[in-house]
Amino acid sequence: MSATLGQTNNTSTSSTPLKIPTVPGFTPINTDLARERSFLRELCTKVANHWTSTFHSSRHLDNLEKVAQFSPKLNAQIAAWTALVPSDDRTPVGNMIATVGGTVGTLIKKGAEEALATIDKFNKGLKDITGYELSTLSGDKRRELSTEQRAKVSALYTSLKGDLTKGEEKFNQIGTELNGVSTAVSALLKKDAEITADLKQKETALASTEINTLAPSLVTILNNIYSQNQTKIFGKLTESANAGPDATTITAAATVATTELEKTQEAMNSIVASVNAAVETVQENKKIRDRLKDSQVPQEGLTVVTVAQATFDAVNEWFTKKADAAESAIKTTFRDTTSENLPASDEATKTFAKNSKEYRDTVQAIGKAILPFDTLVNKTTEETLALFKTTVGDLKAIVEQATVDILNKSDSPEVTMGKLQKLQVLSAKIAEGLKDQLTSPDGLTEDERADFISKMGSAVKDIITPNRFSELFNN
Amino acid sequence: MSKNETSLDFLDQLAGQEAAAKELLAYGESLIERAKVAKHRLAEQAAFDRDLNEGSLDSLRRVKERVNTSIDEMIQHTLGIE
Repeated sequence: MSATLGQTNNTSTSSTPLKIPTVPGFTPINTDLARERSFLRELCTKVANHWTSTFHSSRHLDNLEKVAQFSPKLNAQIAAWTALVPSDDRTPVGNMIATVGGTVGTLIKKGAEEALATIDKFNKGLKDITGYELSTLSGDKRRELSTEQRAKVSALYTSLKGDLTKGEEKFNQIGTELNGVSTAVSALLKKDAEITADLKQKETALASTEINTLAPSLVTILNNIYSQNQTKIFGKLTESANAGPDATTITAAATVATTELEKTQEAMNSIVASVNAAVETVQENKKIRDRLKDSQVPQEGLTVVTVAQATFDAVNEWFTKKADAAESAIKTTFRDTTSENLPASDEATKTFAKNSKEYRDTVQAIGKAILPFDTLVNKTTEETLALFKTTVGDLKAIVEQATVDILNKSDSPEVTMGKLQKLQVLSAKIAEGLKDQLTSPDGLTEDERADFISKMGSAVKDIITPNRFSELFNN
Repeated sequence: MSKNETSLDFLDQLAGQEAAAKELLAYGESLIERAKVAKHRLAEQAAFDRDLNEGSLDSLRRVKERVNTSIDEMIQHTLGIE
């Protein structure tokens, strides 16, 4: 072999300093597993020391130059391998690391065996010529060699030079492959550490919000989702490493696993967003309800307040049940899914998030449409109020009942939302119509106004009778 | 070495390569062995956790046996008994 192991030639890309991947910092591990997992770091240190001492003890200046060429690559390799040590003690990560570590060991062994195979050939020939092998042919003994023996040894070296160079190239190739494995696995572990930190951050953030009353087990659900997917994803990578050892396959598998972890992270973020939307709805409705409770409405308006309150309560109760059911469904989906199905689960989560937002908007719109009924109470005379109270009370009772009926049906989210939106439009029209007539400055006399309200009430009641509602919302 | 004699300096280089390759071979084998041990211990740890979580009489008995074994190993190690 004409050069040291790890030597790079001028045309090789491996002579370019490699980009050292950013790696997560180390967290002290106080468990027994730390010992098992530190083996890679120890190995890296040993390999680094070994290579460094071997090259630096060389008496050949050209070898020292080659050390300089190899250093950036070596440093990058060590940095990447060091990153293989995980920052936590979860078994799936540990299993994957151990398997990939075994694969790395097999690749190193393979490279070393290939290099030794050719050197063994040389040793055999050397022994035949001189009676000694490389390790025992000291300087003194070399000087005693005859000219003929020297010529034969030189010829032997020349005859095997091609094989030695091939062995060296193969070893360099394996080094490059190991670099690929290290970089890909480092990126995967970095993503894993990022998600773990994100989950902890979410746990802290969610603890202080009302989400605990809506979905007390959300953090547990998220942790379970991640744990289940992580086990599957790292399991698949472990399978690839076990089936090999093939650096290309493992590098590709680690890259795919990183993408799958990213998908899991996005899915979990969608769940949090959708549950946040649910919480927001409940909070908004609670504000409206509290405002109604605190408003200085006449005694006569309390019926309206009570009805509106009942509507909000019904909506809140329904939404909470829906949100819980949706989370449960998501949890089940993730439990049953395989990593290949992640995109489908992700889609289901996005649909839930979208529906949550639309429910929230629709329910809020109904709340806003109903509100004018209440504010109108203050603007009527006693006589009008009596009529208004009856008419509006009846109307609101019908709207409230329709809302409850819609929500209690086990329709799909899409159908339920469609019905709610129809009700929202109808409620807004009724509220706006009443408001216009009752507050118009150049409008009717009180008698005319009362008459109008009565007629309008009858007309509207005729339009939105329970049967008509049933017809409207059930077909 | 006279001018006619062939230089055998490459022998130093090859000897260095041989030593390096042998050490790397040993490291590779060591890494493979360590990976096996790590996986075995991880499996043991997982089994221990499962038994502990399961909490059945049999599983707790297994936990107790493992703990006792560990204590025995610790005592033997402390006393220098193999």
